[in-house]
Amino acid sequence: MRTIALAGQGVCGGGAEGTALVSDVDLALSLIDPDTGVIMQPAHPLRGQSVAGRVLVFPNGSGSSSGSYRLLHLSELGKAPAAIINNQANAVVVAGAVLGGVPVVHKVSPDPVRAIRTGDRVSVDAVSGRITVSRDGQ
Amino acid sequence: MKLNSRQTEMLEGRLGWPSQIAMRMLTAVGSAYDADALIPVGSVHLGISGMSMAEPGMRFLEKLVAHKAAFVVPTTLNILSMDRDAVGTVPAIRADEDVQLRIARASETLGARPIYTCNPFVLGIAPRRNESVAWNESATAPYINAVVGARTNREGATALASALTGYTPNYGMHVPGNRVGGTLVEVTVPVSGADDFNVLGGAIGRAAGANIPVIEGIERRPSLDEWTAFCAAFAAISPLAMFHVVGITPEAPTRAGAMDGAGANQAPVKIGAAELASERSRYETARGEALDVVAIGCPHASIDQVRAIAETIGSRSIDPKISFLIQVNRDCAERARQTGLAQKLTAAGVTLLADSCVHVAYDQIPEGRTLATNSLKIAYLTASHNVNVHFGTLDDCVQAAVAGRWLGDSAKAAELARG
Repeated sequence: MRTIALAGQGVCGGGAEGTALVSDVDLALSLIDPDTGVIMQPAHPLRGQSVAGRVLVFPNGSGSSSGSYRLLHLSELGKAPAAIINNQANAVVVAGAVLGGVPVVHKVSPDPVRAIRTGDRVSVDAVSGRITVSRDGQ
Repeated sequence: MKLNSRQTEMLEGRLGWPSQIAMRMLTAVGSAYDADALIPVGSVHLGISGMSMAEPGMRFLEKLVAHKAAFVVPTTLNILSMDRDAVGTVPAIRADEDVQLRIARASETLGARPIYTCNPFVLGIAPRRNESVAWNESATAPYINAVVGARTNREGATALASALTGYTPNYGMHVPGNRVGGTLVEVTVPVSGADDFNVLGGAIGRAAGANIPVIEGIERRPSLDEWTAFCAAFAAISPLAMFHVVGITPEAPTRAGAMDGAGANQAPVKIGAAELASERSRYETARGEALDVVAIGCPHASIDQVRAIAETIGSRSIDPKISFLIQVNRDCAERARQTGLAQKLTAAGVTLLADSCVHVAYDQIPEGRTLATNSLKIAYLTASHNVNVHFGTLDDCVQAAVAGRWLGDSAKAAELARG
């Protein structure tokens, strides 16, 4: 087991843990299926995967401002991500995260979309901005 | 970020849950953008489409009502996902309509003005110069920033937080330094009429990239219909909320006044007949003459545009196979009824819809059908729903609706190619 420490700026919410789901492509929250948490965004590398309970890592939000209410919707159904890590969080992600009670950390160093891999165990503290990544193997 | 004593009281919940949750949204967004303060807003335009908010959004608004919340600044409402007059006519969407009506009722109870339009400007509703506001609906932002010289970011759920508190984080378009132009654009061909300005808005949005465009070559101040067509297309293609037109928009008295010193010396990106023809053809995804639906009114059509459509149809009728929709605000629909224009259009086979929008309608155009529109934004957005699109001028759309088949826009294309 190997652990990596990352540091960023906590934007909202408290602490959370989960398995990472990582992409280096911007994500439109409005294109997540509200009932299942599955990403529907055309041509997105994570299309078809569910965000439910995952620590979702992507560079920046994109697309419609209705994505904020989508995060509230997912949260009510228990399908929201456990936490969101961005390079830069936009207003759609942040407003939705407050509504849905999802912790957000951004401006993370080293670059989280490279340092964190899908499947890693990730612990997020959105108050201090500290992120701990655990990975099996060397 | 520094908060004043009232903002701190809100954040700590001493003024109740509604202003607390709103203040949490605003301070979190402000912190994400390194805003130095929360500043007052003069008004809010609020998006409340049932398609976007759904039942959780409805419950959130109804919870605000239950907590006796009230909007503290003048707040107007954007489109609904259906026409209130048409509720119940399609049984399959009745449950969704109920959600939308409850969202609308809660918003009105909170104090919003029920204009239900994406184009408040044709109603004479607009901020004052240099005023900061929080307006939803991406097409309104370039109009407010560029044409009015007021200030808004492209707002989402944070507009609701601004309506509840009267504040917005001081970032983006509220900061004068972020409004400076970056890409010089020269329009080398005369543009006139809403259809021309619509295509120009798309072409300039594309040419601008990540930098606010500074536009030269527009010879006269555009009409309101030309501006709103331009802004809707610009906002559909570009993430920006701002542009300048030298000698015309208030923050661009001169090229140098709209850009910093170094920027003003760059070679302009030229937009001519070929670029406009290329922009127009980009949205043409349908092949052949097949046609099912014609949609006009994105952004909501003015009464002048409705009258022009009636005049083009004249004594003819829309082909009975075609569904011809014009989207307008409720006030425009009422005026059309009072003057007999609505009755004339109905008799000719035109459906005049208020309150709503083709793009967020519950009663959607079925996949595989063919739509014709004069709106670049609708042409752009609808293509992702597996609907075939013909993108033409208003005249192309009306003539096709009467003929019952797409006649092409070859005349226009030839004219543009000749320059």
